[in-house]
Amino acid sequence: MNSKPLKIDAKLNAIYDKYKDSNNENKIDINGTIAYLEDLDFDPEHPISLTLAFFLEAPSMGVFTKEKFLYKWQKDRINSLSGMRDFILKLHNSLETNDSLFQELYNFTFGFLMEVPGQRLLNYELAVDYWKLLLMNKKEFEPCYTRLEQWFDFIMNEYKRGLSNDTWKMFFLFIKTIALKDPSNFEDYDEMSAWPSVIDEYIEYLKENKLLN
Amino acid sequence: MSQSFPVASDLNATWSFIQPGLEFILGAQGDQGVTSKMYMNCYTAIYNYCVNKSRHGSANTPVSAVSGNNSYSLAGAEIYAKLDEYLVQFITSLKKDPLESFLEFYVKRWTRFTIGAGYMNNVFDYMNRYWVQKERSDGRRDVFDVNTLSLLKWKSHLFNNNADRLIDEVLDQIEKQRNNEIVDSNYISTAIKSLVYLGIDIQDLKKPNLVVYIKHFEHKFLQKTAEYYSKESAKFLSQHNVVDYMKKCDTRLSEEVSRSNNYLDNHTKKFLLETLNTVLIKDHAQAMYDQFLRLLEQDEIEHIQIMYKLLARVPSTLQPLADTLEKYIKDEASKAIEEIKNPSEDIEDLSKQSADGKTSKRTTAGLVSPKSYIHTLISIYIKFNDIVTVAINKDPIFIKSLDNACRYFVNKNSIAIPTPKSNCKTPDLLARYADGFLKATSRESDIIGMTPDNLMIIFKFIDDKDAFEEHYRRLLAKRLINNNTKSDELEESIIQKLQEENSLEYTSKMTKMFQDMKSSEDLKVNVREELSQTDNQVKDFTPLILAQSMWPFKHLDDYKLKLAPELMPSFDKVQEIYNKKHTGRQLQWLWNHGKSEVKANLSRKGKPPFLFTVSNVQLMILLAFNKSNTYSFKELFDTVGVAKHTFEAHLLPFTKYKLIDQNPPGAECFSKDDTKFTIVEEYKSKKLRVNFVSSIKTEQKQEEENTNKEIDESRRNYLSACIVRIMKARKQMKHNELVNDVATQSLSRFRAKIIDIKRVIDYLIEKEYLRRIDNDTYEYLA
Repeated sequence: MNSKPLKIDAKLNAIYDKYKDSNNENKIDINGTIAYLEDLDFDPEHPISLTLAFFLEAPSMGVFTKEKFLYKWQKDRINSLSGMRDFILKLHNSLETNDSLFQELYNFTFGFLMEVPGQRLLNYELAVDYWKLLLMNKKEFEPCYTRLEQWFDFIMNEYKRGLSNDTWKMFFLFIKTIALKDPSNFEDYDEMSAWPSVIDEYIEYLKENKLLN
Repeated sequence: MSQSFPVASDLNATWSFIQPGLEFILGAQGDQGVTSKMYMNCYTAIYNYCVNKSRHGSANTPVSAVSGNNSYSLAGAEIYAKLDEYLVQFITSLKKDPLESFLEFYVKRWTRFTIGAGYMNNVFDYMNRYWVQKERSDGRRDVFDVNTLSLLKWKSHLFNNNADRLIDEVLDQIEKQRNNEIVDSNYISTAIKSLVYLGIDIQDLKKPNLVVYIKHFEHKFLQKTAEYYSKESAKFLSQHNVVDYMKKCDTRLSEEVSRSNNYLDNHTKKFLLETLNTVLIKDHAQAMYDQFLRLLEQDEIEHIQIMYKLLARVPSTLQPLADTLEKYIKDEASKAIEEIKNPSEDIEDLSKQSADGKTSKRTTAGLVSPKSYIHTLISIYIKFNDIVTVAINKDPIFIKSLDNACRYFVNKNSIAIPTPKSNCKTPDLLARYADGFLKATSRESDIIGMTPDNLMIIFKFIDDKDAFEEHYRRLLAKRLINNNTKSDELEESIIQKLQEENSLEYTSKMTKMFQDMKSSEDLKVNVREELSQTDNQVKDFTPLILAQSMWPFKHLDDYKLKLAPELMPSFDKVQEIYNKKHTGRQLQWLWNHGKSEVKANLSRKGKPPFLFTVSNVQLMILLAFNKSNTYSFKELFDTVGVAKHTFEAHLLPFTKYKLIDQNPPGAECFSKDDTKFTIVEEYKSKKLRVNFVSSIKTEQKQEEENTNKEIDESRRNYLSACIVRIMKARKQMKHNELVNDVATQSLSRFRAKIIDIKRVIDYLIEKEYLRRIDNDTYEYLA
């Protein structure tokens, strides 16, 4: 840990204590999380909840660690629920323009969705849910919405298998470098280059269904 | 000529003395040559002059001015100047006779002049050797020996002014000769040679120099040649067919070669051939390509050979021809394949061979027999291999085209790949082809012309070698365990061939299978020996011990057979003997394989017993009837013990062929628990041998699926081992490089699809054997 121990504000400590797990005081569990989101007035289904989890480096869904919770808020000297709400709203809005921050969020999401230790593949249905959450709410990807829908159809109806972290990351690269550049033809796509096989299969699927030349 | 020699120091006197002699030498007096006396006198006078002058020196010669420091100077400059002047005057005085052509004039005079120049060179020998040599070694490059001086004078005063005229006349003569008119080639030859002689390098007289020849003659000659033949060939082709044209080319080329041997300098030969090749061959290559298809269609081997030889003179013209061949072979193959798919009235000879009442091997479902399929492929190969060998001289470019075409049609044709996504069927058909001539039970008349050589030819072209191995091994396994091999030697020779063509590893499983058969033989002898000492009923028993991963057999839960008590002793004996030898190995019985023969005492009194061929399941069913004549379905099923659908499949042939009566009858009652099955008292069959195995319904489709699954799985394993091996050595590698290396390495077993390689890479990333760095590079994780 390179972080020097910070002196934690008493108000912040009090907020943490309000939500902490009664069995394990080092974390906030799912019940605490739901209450916390409610008090912040964040819809758990809304992308903003993911932004919160990302900011607090939540190890998995519905869990916050005490260490990160206190450290992250203290670092920004925030010790009230309304301050937290404002901060996250601001952070969330900045994702629209801050590319590298958005990429960090995207990469974070895969690990965040892992449910058991040693898990390497992300359930494909869950993957699609979060792709929708991440990509379909972002203006930047609007030119690709149709392609994304087709990707979801392909994953849900044809591929139907778990997805690796590598695929998760490479798909983002594919959207950014190939799909956004030329959504109708994917002109820069080259099957000889290193795309994971699932992306090749997706292209094949589009061609078979006459959705791509 | 005066007898007394002139005063040696007097130049003019000396010159007047020798000039009449020189006239004779050079031929100014017609054909009359110089007499030896005259020659000697001239020589002596020049010698005297030079020696005398040299001794006294000469203050007023430019020579001594140059070499002024020499107290001793050589004489020659003045007489050399006289000679120079004389030669000019002589040459310019030569006049053409109105009746002769310029060429005739030139050649005649040249011939005489060069002879004279040679003589004159000798006459001035002393001057040549001392004065000329000295001047040249002092660096003067405008002084020459007399012969060279004569040639140079000829060049500057006769040749240079008339070069065009001369060359035009020479080229005229050559054109006449090309037009088959009679010309005196001596004139041509001498005139051309004169150009070589006139090429004098004044810096180094000994160095051959073709400047004059090339500048005045060769350029024009090549240009004229190109014009002549490009006109002629265009005209000829417009009036004749390509074959005649090719023959004409052949003639023309050999004519020109002999012309160039006869009177051109060697230098020209290369350029002449280049010119001819361009004008006669390269410029008309397209016409030949067009004709090539027709020649192939009409099987005109000889003409193909002429065409190849012509085009081979211009190597760059060959590739399109080879491409044409490749495409033609592919088209022919696909036509031939269509023909055997839809047999019409006139089927080609190969399928006729099997027409001896057995044509129905090609079943109505449009399935083609392995024999007719493989022989169709072979016939295409042989036909075009012959063409490439005989007519095309085994040119590597064409061998490659043949290989490409064969590999293409062997792997991709409408029988091999009926639907775009299906696996290639050729490996399977080829394995069945081999099975055809390796099986002991095949009829000789059915397997005429089926040979290991044919097998190996097609094998070489197969992409999916691994699929062939899998199919071949399955059939081999069946031949071996059913004791259905025609000859062990033949079997082993084929394994040997496959090994040579591919690798030791490729045939390792099959080799192990043969070993298993041999050691099983020993075990059998052992078992039988021990059984013979007991009072066991079943002595004629052949156990086979088959290594699990080598043989294409799987232990199936459907076949958990309850062994009849009659068989237990034999069964136990095998276990006992085997376990004694190999402790710790587990034996699994494959009851779905193997057959038994049962003697059945169900004949009419006095007749010999029946001999039934039955499966192991059927054997247990029959043995049960030793105890009781009637069982309910459930009783019998419990006695035998296998899965219900398996039991039904094996029981059915018995009721169908009325060995066992079913009560109540009817298919709907067949598998009801309390339906009764009773064995007949007396079996009514005309044949003593009855086979109940062949009518058991088997799951053919299932087996095919299993085979394909196994091929896919072994490919994945192979690819992943291959990738790990490469990455372990390289640590880091670019995606494309890795894919290429893997594809190349797997080529001897199968043609790996890129998507399959990628899937395995994905799998290895997921399992953390590899890691992606920089989007398109992988890193090996130890």
